[in-house]
Amino acid sequence: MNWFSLWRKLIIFIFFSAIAACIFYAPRFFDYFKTQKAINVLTFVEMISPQTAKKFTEQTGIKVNMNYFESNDELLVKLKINKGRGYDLILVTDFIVDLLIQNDLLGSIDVNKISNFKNLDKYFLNRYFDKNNKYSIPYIWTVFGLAYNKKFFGEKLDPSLGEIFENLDKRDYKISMINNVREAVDFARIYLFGKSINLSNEQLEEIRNLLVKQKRIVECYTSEKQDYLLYAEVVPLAVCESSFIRRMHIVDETAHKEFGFVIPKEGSIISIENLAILKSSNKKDLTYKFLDFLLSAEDSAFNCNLYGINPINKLSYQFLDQEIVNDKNYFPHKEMIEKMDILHNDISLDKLDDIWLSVKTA
Amino acid sequence: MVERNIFVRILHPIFVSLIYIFLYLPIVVLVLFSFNKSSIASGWSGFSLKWFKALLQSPEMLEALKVSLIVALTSTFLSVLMGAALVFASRWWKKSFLFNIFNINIILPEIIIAVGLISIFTFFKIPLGYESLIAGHTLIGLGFVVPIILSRFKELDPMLTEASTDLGARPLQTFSKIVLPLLAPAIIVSCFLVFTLSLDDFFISFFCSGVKVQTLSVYIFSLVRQGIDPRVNAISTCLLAVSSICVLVLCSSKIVGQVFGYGK
Amino acid sequence: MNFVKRILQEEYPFIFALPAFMWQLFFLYLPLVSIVVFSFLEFSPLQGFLGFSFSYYVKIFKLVYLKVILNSFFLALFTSIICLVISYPVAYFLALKVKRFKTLFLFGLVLPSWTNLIVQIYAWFFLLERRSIISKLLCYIGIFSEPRHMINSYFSTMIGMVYCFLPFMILPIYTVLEKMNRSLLEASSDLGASRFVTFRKVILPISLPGIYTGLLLVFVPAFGEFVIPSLLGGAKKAYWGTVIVDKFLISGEWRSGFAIATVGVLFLGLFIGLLFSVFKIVKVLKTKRFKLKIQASKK
Repeated sequence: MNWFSLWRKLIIFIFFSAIAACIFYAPRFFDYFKTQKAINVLTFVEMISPQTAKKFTEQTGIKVNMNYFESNDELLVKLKINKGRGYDLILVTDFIVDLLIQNDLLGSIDVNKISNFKNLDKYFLNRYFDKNNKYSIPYIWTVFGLAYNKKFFGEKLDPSLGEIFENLDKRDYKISMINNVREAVDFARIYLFGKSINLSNEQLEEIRNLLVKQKRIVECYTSEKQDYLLYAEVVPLAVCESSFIRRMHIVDETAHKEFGFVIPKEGSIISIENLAILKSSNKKDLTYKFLDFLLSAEDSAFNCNLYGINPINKLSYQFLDQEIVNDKNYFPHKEMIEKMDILHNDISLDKLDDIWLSVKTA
Repeated sequence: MVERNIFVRILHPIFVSLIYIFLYLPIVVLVLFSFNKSSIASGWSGFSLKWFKALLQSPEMLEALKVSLIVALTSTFLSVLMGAALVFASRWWKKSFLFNIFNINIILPEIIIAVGLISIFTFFKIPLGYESLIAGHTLIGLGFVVPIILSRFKELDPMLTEASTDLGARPLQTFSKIVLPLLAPAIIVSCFLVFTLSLDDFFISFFCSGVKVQTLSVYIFSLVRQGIDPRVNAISTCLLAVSSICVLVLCSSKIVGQVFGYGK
Repeated sequence: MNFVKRILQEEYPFIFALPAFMWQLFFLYLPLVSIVVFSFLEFSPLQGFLGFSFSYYVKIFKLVYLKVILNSFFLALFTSIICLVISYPVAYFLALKVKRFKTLFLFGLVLPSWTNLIVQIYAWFFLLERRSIISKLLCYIGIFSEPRHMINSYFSTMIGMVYCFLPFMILPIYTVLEKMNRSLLEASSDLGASRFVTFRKVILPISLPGIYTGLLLVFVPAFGEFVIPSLLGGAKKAYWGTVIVDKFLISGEWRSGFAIATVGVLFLGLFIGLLFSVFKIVKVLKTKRFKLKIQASKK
């Protein structure tokens, strides 16, 4: 092969590479040039409805591109890949806000620009993951608990974590457990040690042993199927978020006669979902408007009624079904909330991984 | 040779029929219940097309369908084009190892290919989305297209291409007027094959789908994760219908043997 | 312009072949290499690239990870064995016993496997769940006292695995048996061999390459499978595939993910190499025995 031939081959190679590069990098190029009046929102499924986005667009003329996500951790991974480029507003859980702040992905929020901020329940502000709410504003909250089949347990169930962690050999029925390591470890932690952070290695060992022992009575590990499992009478008891059961009631009005929900007396997990603006966003003004819109009393009540979640805006309560609001299992009193734990990032990923794999390979 | 043992003579066909029943029972039940009126698998409550209508009313389903079709069509086009071009070049390049490097696509576990793809895309800062999906699906398609078309090409008389060039045709003309029509059956079969593969692909789509872009497999997976949903029955029936057509084309040719026999 | 024309004229094989090669190299071989390379690179969020190290391999040097790989290994092994045991009679029947409608039988065999994986799994989910007709049927017959949820167990995982991979084992064996020279069978019976001896000495050795291909096509994907155990098995067991998905898409620990991916592929490669050598040794031994017999008969 002589030198000319090699030279020609190189030219062809460069030509094809250039075409490929154009095709693959084209989206980034186009994103850069998009200057229309539109914002990109990235949110958990079943938190912000498309109708809300539509209403906002009708009112202000700003287009909202809704993108939905099913799992917090997936969201974190995919945001980190692109340094959050391409999105303006996100809705994420508490401990994720903590991680995002650590990774320097969030832009600071000026609460004076948000008119609905004064109506927010101060109890949920100023939490560990974002003191003084510099980067995130809470939008809704949900609680974890035990959902149960009333026919099987009778009208009352012992509202205790003992239902999922004790008498494991004497059960003749199985339960469904959450398929998320953080939440599972947190339940075990609350049961064994109460609300606490910074566990020692011995304590982690105890948690691991408890979760491995629990596997005996677990029919299925899932964070999505609990309503199906209860409805199909596969398990009489499932560990899940309150929103699951409330959505069951919305779909089927007789469901509340068959299925109930309790918060364990030892405590449980409370999840606060927060709105945050990404640092890379160049449409911060438009984003502030949508953020403010979401926090308004009527619109947050609309989403809460639709998806079975609890609003942070105090004025939204008047728009909710009062029977549900008075049910302390869905809207626990402040004394109960004190016992509930917000997920933290205090256990390293390695140790969590270790515990979860021990459970899953047992 | 006549089977002398009556026991085996009866048992063997019964066994094979049982296996075919095993293969078809789930699919038949699935399709049947997609026409069921009630949503619970509790019993037949009447014939109804409402779940198919529900499919049309679900925007996520339609979006996922659109993505799947675009990715499948583009991957088919790209992989068949590149594969056919490569095979044509084999007339001048006889070294077989150059073509054996494509065999690994099918042998490797798809999950490794998927992991490799997202690590490459992240490293080169290529955003995940249509391009990444098409890249992955075309890769898998190439693994099938190259062996199929190559084996057909080898059956062709090499004298034909030589005669054509001797008569003064330019290589592109030889390719389009002589080789392409002769390879047509293999090309058509591989088109259907790659199209079906791309529609059905899960692993690569699961890893490479960005937030905005989701193929049908990934969307159905998220539905199935939540339990029984009659809309999944409906979309499965549609997908089965599409697969049947593709498999029919496949089986009416002799390509099946070439795909699964070449591995020895 | 002439320059371009000259390039096109002289280098057309290269132009035709290059896209496919570039695609393969960039999207398959480069990623594979990068998985291995990245698993050795040490990164820190503050300082960036630190250097080569085995630290991620040390992180996964734990019993749980070995258990995970063994879980996948045994899942793939059992799937392959069950598939082989079922496939051989079916392939034999299709190749040697079916005279008419062969294409129809083949079509019937290939169709279930060329459907979407998720659809296949969902079909079994639908069939095995508590309110399904199978559950009700078994209850009616009396095997169950009440309708039972037959999912979330190893049994349902195995059913799903075998269902998805069965046609991939049947087809290679079928192909080899189909191509077999029928006169060999006649010659064998003419020489006085019983059906069983014919099978053992003629058919089985000829079908060995088909069995090998079938095992490859079943074992390797089954090893990397994670969807079937998670949907039909209740996510109760961790497999190599589930660990990889967890590391890359959920916890975001890509480095140890690369390490476990490399380890798994090495393990797989070793097993396949073992399988290959076993088949080769068997082949060599048989040819040697045959040659010795011929030599002995000549004397």
